[in-house]
Amino acid sequence: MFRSRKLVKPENLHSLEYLKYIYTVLSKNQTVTDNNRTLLVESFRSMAEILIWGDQNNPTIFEYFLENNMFNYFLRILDQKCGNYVCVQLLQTLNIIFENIRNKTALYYLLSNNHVNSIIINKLDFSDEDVLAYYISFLKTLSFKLNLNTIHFFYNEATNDFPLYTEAIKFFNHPDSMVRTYVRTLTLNVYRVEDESMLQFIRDKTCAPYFANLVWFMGKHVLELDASARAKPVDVDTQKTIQDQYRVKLADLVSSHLDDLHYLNDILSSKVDILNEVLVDHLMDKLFVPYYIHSLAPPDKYIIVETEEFVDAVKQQPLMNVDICLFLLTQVFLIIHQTKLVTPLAKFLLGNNFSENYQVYHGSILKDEASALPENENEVKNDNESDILDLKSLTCMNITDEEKEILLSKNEADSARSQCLESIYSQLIIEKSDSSALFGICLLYALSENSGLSKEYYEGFLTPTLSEGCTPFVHCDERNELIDKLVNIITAISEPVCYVRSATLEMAITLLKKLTIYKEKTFISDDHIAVIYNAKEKILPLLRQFFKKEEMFLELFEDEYYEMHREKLNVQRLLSDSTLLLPPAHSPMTGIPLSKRLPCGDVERTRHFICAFLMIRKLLMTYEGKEETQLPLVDRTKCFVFDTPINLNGNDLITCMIIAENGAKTRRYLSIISSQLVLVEPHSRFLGWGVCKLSCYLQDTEVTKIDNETKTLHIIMHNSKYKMTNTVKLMFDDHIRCNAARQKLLNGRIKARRKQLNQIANLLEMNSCETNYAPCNTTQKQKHGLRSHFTDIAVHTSNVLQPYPISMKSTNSDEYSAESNCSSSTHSRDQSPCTKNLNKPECTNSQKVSLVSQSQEKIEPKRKGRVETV
Amino acid sequence: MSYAYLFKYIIIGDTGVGKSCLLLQFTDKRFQPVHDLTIGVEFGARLVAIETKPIKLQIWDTAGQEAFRSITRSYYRGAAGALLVYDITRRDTFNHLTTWLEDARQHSNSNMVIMLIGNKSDLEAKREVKKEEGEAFAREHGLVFMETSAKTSDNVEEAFINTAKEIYEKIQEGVFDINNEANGIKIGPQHSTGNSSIPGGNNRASGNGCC
Ligand SMILES: Nc1nc2c(ncn2[C@@H]2O[C@H](COP(=O)(O)OP(=O)(O)OP(=O)(O)O)[C@@H](O)[C@H]2O)c(=O)[nH]1
Ligand SMILES: [Mg+2]
Repeated sequence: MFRSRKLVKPENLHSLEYLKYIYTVLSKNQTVTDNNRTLLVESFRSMAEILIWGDQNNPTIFEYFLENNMFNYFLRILDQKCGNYVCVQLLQTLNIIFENIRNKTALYYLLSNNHVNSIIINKLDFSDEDVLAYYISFLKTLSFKLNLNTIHFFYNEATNDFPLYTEAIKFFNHPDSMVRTYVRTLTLNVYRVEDESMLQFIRDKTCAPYFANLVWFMGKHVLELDASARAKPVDVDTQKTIQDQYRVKLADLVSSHLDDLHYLNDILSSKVDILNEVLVDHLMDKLFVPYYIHSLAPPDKYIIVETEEFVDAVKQQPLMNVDICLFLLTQVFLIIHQTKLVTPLAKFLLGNNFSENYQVYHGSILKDEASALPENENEVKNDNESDILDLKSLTCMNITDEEKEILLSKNEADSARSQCLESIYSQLIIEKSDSSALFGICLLYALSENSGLSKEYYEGFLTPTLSEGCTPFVHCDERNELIDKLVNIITAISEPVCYVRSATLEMAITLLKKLTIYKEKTFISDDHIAVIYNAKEKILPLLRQFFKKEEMFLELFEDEYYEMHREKLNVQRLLSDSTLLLPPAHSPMTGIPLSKRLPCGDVERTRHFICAFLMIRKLLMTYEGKEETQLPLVDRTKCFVFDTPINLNGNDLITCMIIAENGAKTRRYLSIISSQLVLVEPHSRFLGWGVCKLSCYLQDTEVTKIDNETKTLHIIMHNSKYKMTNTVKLMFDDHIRCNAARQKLLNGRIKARRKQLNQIANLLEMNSCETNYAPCNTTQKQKHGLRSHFTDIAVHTSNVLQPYPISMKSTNSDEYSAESNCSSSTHSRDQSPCTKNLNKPECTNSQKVSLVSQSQEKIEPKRKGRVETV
Repeated sequence: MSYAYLFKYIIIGDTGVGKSCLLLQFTDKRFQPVHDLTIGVEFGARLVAIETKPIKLQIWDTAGQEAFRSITRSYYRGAAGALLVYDITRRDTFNHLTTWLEDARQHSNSNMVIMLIGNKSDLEAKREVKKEEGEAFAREHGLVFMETSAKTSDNVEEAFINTAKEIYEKIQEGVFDINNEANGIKIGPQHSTGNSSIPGGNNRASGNGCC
């Protein structure tokens, strides 16, 4: 007997002996003291490891564990208020066991006997963030074990008990966001289990308090959001730090509201009708109708119903800002696609006969009320003493009666059109800020895109009239009026004073297309098209002015073009930006992209109008059924791709070396083909052919020469489509070849830019390509002496050598060979034939320069009759 | 136990790459690999020292919840650091990185520090993804990269601690708004700037989560 006092720790942790040793330790230390604390923690830690090892390798381990009821020690120790140090290890051991155990029988044993439930209801010290985190994690792990076979271990039908769920939802509003996330995961896992009796329990005992609280807190956050978006600091563009804090807060509020909506959508998607009915009713009654619908369409007798807290609350904060209301409603339709919720809400928004719709909806409330709400609440209170949810008291939630009166009072106000729609329409008129218009458009768009909403609610209104007559909800002439409004927004953007943002225009156009285009057919009146056309005509003179004085016009134009085609408009992403809730900003220093604010300065104004022009032009082309023929200016997809074989016969080739960063040299041949800089290596089989190793359109290149390196050039290649740059260092045999290459590239660049400016002039319907600046001014500041020197030459020589005859026969180095699979021929052929004479090899550099400018001038007269010298 | 800051991490990547094992290995590295023993866990906390400051790391793993959009969203949003894990013996897990990264970037706060982890470096014979490829991916996307083994615990410590260092640097630079708990950073209960170094440096007291 005495010998056994001295416990011998077995060497091998993964053995039955070790578990026996732990058993002895636990039975000898049933009371936690300061002295055995560490030993106990160590024992529980090892226990996890042995059990899982046993689960996978040695069944006798688990048998021993079960025979000796070792699970009881967990409980016994937890019951002692063992201190957080031991508690955390216990919870982690439980986590490890339940997460890693594979043997079903063992799992079922552990779950039976109510052991786990006893642990769940144990009142631990949740003020300790570790205890809480490990505890919630434990509950979450268990929730992943829920299915039809295991549910009865957790939910006891006889005693009407489901501690896993009821304990977890107590933390649903915990300040720690991860804790909240784990609780939400658990609830969703529970709703997935199709056990009728359990779901009935959830509905009867917890739905009202849990959902009511969820909705109540959403409402509270919505009001906070409203308040913080309203409390606009003096000017959005000033006071940087205050601004930042303020924006962060707003962004947080919006993000967590979106989280909530996604959560609602996840619950509703679980298709548990008995729960969803309750949730939908709560949402409609306590959030959507009183906050959103009533803010859009204040009921006349709203305030007259003098009953208790709800109306008091309403009096203080009766209506939300309409912009925010539209924004939030849009989010609902963007995120939630469940018919049960979106249909009643859409009816409120679109219904032309409010009372009738209400009857429909009201029926469901009454039905529901009879079956669920009133009795639950009492039961909940009685059964679980006020601790099932120590949250807002339920009486506060129980406002359906008052609301009913409010809603009923609405019946009497009989209006021809839905008051909500009326209100949305009035927001579409842009006065000072385009925010309301933007949100109004987004809302209607989100409605029409919502997959949970039956088409009948908006057919003929948000889509072209398909049949004669009206939808049950909206009159047809409302579609026309909406088109009017949208077309007016398009007109508004053509004003020289900018107050409509590009994002608003894009949304307006998107919605307009939705309203007027169906299966490639257009349904729009000539009058409306004429208005849109006029808007474009009004932008043109503005753009022409910018074109003349803005040196970077070409770059801006191309950039806007690619920006427009970069990605499809994603309304959900657009609206996840909380800065939209602030008054439209001007300053780029806000960090808001230009499309979501108003332009500041001429460059941005230029961009703004280019963008508007491109969008309106594209819209008109859609209506006219025209194909795009003029854009993009340069089809960069036609750039020679890596490893393309090219016939180089007759092309100028300059030998050079590419110098890599590490100094490695690779021999290449530089040539200019189809307005592209091409670096080739000789083709392995065909003589006179090369294989493209690097290519770039000349207008996207920048050539610099470093002063003390006479033989090398740095070439920066911009990829305007992907916004990437790539620099290569080229070394030539001598400085003459180096200079020749440089001149060639620079000339080519000027020529290419010239050509594109002409294309733009064409688009802008200008008589000539007149600019106030020299064409060869590069986009970069001219840091380099030689370059500006070159510029001078260009201008100078073109004047002097104007009458240079252009009649030489061309070797046509600028044309690519027919065999190559580069297909940009159409582009080069746009140009008048005389460009082909340009690169006659015998020309000296300066002659070439003159030719460039001159031939440009020759081209223009042919086309437009008038030309200005550069 | 007191700490200067608490950083919340999330751990993401395809199923089976070893997230749960990494987490347990880090929070309680006494779990020795024997007989192909598979032990993982989905939550863990540990105290580490960064520039002598005690920092508590909480790692939250929410594998298996991809079905719920709302969960993914809030999970990303509440974290200051993320370990993006792939398995060097399974190319598909590497190929999915872009999707994971897009998700992370879309939902997380823009300052979240992301560490790329190529796990199971002990299985050199079965390697399908070269170390250079991991490095290149990390460089291209501006991530820190490391190959680890949850089995031999090689680099596991470093992965978690380097991430913490980077977050800490961002705090020093004032990039992170530490007053906003939504960012996954919490200031400790008794935040003192004095000499709050942990005795024994990196050495945890026994038991995980003791901090
Ligand atoms: N050889 C080796 N195996 C590992 C390593 N890390 C994890 N594993 C094994 O990989 C498998 C998956 O590990 P887990 O940690 O469960 O993977 P996970 O990423 O958490 O997977 P999910 O929870 O399903 O998303 C297990 O069998 C582990 O034993 C490692 O570093 N080396
Ligand atoms: Mg896992």
